[in-house]
Amino acid sequence: MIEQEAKFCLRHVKAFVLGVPAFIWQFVFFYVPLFFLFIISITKSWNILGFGSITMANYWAMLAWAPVKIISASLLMAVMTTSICVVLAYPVVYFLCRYVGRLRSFMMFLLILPFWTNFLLHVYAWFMMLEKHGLVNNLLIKLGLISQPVSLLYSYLAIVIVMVHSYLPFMIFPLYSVMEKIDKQLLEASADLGATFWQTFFRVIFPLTLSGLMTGVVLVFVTSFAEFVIPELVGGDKFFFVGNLITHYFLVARNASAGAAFTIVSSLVVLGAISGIYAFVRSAMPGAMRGKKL
Amino acid sequence: MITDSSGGLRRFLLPLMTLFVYAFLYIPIAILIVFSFNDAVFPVHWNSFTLKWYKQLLHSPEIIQAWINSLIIAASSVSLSILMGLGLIYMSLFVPVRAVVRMSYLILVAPEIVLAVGLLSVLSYLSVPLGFGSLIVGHTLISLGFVIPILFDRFSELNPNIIEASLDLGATRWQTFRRILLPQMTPTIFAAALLVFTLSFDDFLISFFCTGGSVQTISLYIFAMIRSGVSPVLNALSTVIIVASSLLVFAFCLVRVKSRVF
Amino acid sequence: MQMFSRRFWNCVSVGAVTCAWLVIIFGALFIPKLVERLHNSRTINIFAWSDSIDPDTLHDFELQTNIRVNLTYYDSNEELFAKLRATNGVGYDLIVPSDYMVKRFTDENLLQKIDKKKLNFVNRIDQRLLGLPFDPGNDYSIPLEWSIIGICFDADLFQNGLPEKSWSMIFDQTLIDGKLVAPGDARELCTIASLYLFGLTGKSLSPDQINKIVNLLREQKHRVLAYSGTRADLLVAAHNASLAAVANVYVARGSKHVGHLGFAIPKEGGFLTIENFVIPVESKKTDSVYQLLNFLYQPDVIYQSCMNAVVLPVTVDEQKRLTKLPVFKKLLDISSTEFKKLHFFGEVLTDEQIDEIWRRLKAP
Repeated sequence: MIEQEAKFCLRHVKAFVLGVPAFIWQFVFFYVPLFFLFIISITKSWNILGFGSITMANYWAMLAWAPVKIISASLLMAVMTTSICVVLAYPVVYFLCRYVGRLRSFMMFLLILPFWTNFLLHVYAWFMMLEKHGLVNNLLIKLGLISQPVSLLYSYLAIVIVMVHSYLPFMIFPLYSVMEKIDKQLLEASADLGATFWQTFFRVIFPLTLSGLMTGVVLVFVTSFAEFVIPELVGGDKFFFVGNLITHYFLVARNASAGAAFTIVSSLVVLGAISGIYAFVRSAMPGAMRGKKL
Repeated sequence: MITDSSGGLRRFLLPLMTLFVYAFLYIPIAILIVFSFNDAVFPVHWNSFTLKWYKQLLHSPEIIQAWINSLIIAASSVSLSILMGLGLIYMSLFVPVRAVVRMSYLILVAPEIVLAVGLLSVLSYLSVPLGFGSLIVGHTLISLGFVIPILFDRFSELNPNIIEASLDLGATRWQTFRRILLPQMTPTIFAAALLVFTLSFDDFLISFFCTGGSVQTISLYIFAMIRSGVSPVLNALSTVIIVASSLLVFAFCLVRVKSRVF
Repeated sequence: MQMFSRRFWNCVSVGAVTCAWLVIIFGALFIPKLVERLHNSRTINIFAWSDSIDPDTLHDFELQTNIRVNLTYYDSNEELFAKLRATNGVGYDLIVPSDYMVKRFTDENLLQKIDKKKLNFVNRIDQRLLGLPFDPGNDYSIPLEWSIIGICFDADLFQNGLPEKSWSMIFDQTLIDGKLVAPGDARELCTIASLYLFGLTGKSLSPDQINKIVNLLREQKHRVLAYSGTRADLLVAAHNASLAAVANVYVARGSKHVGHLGFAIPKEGGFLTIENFVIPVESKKTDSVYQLLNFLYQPDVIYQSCMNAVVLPVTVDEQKRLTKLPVFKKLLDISSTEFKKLHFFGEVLTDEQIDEIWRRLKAP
């Protein structure tokens, strides 16, 4: 687009001076730390003067029962959270796109709002709801489903509920941005050709929204896999997930080498999981993802 | 509301599910706000209306300091990331920078805890004092991950003919940048600034790892309060933050609608 | 010639600009250290546990003496130890570690001796809190606050007190009624479990004993509502839990709002934790530090901070003053036999053992 000038001149330097910080910042504060994490994971002792000998002991320690259990529990939690988000997001987005006309921007505004407020506040809000004398318990008692208040807080269920609440907007957005682009005439044509609602959904809507769905799935899956605040606060610090164990290694146990090894192993696991999902989708729906990159 | 020939169950199910999702997202917040006006230490029953928690909020030096710290950090990270993003755009007029832009995509995708932990390790290793400096570094990093894609997305949508015309007419690249590119990108810059300001203000993970104990931000304060006990002052603080965020988002949406571009 | 020049100058300028930016960025990051060096003489840097020092009191001190005080918080004793070891205590003038940490610091020669002649309050301190094993002569540490870890119970549920005044109330599945709150601190929980299973003999534990602790704690986990030291009183007060292993200071905090919090020291012995002031060996501002200490230990200052926050006073007079209030009377009323049986969390288990137990306990 722009021709390069043949001579060296100060204008080039000025451009470089202004443009290079963006590169330096990312390189020094993101890529170098990633490399650094890898380096300290393969050694046991290190300080400013040098590094100890190379050893894979930190990685072998990751095969112990506790880390494996924690990673698999996190995968399960991520799968659960993502699935529930998908199930809740599709109807809402479909409803908004298909049947809501004038109020649509306002309703999307309402869906954007939770994303823009501090996520800890949402966690705290659920404390009020799930407490023994909170709203949910009162409701269940009034409906006659239980006779004594139940401790909903500090449980696995509470963690799932708050996770879904926090990450639902991440699934709704990408889905909305692709679904609103679907031409309504396609749906009408499909109905005219005699397709039932479910046939239309699976053969027309679903493939067309697949890229948005995948974006949402990646966002929700990765963040819920690595989450540590919600299990700690709402789970009563009873269950360690990947995020909790990483925090434990770095801030409590102060064992940065083991922590780095665990971080790398977990990152590879989640990367593998995402790639697996992509591969599965690509094989199941060959045309839908053409041209879309990760 | 649903007028076409959808199945009977679906006629009720879709609006019902939508209502459920909105309720699921908003009822907890509503309860939070309601109880900030409740005159009781434990939020079990409704006692009477009071504004005393808000008064306590205004008189707590700890909260005010945390607020100021959060503002300083957010403002710094917004300025730094926007300036760096614009600088990169200027440099792209001379040299292709697609590689640098692609670098920033990974920042968005990687879990924030990996960023935080890596940054903490490197900074500790180099004996960098943890505090405002490390916090601003971390927040700016995340902001870059948003600012660069947003700015370059918009930049690629601009009409390249105008830029070429400007250069053909004898303007330097700096003049082109200042007089042509910047004005066309102003709404985007504003939107991106608002986005990363909010992100930085609400950020918890990076702050948690990189604070070193000397700087308290609003997120860290809320976290400490939740961990150590319930106080309606937290409800009052939450209400204030929610109202402020709503106004910001409203402003953002207004800008989007008014300028018709993003 | 021209071509060669251009590439050469390109490389040079690229390198120079990059280096310049790196210098600017890292220079900015190191500015706080510089500022500290400049402001050095009239500033005291304190490194303390979150609840231990009231910032308002420090503010009053600053107004009175014109000496600035910087308060930095640490989250865990391990963090404190790691930081101090790495920097040799440089940067801090006053630190507030727990009891067993003091011994670790003195073993590594990280502390300087406290000149008790410069302090005007040492004779007012409760004798029971001085001369303890981790610092027999109190040459290096002065107690700031203390608490006893025991069992807090819901008096509405256990109307005649605990059936068994023993740690088995939180471990024995047949005795536990309802849910309980376990300590959030790993060392506390593991040491209590160790006391319950094997008694505290002072010998280090074998891997088999570690396994037994893990099994006991994982079994206990079914009845645990939450692992939290700081919210325990609130959870019992709201009837969410019926028992908690928690420090008596938090019971005092909860008792300010509700009346049904009971506290008992188990017969095997409760645990005494003392937060102490120590001075790192590298600190040069000892005069300002002693001024601050004398200020903080004034009777009214101590009394006020006990009323505002969650602390028990170390000075005898203030203890007497506070026993006039029923909330504190309940907690300060400890017989001398009970006091003698109190244990310290000490170093029964090593850091690695505690870590291993914690990981295996918390895995879902």
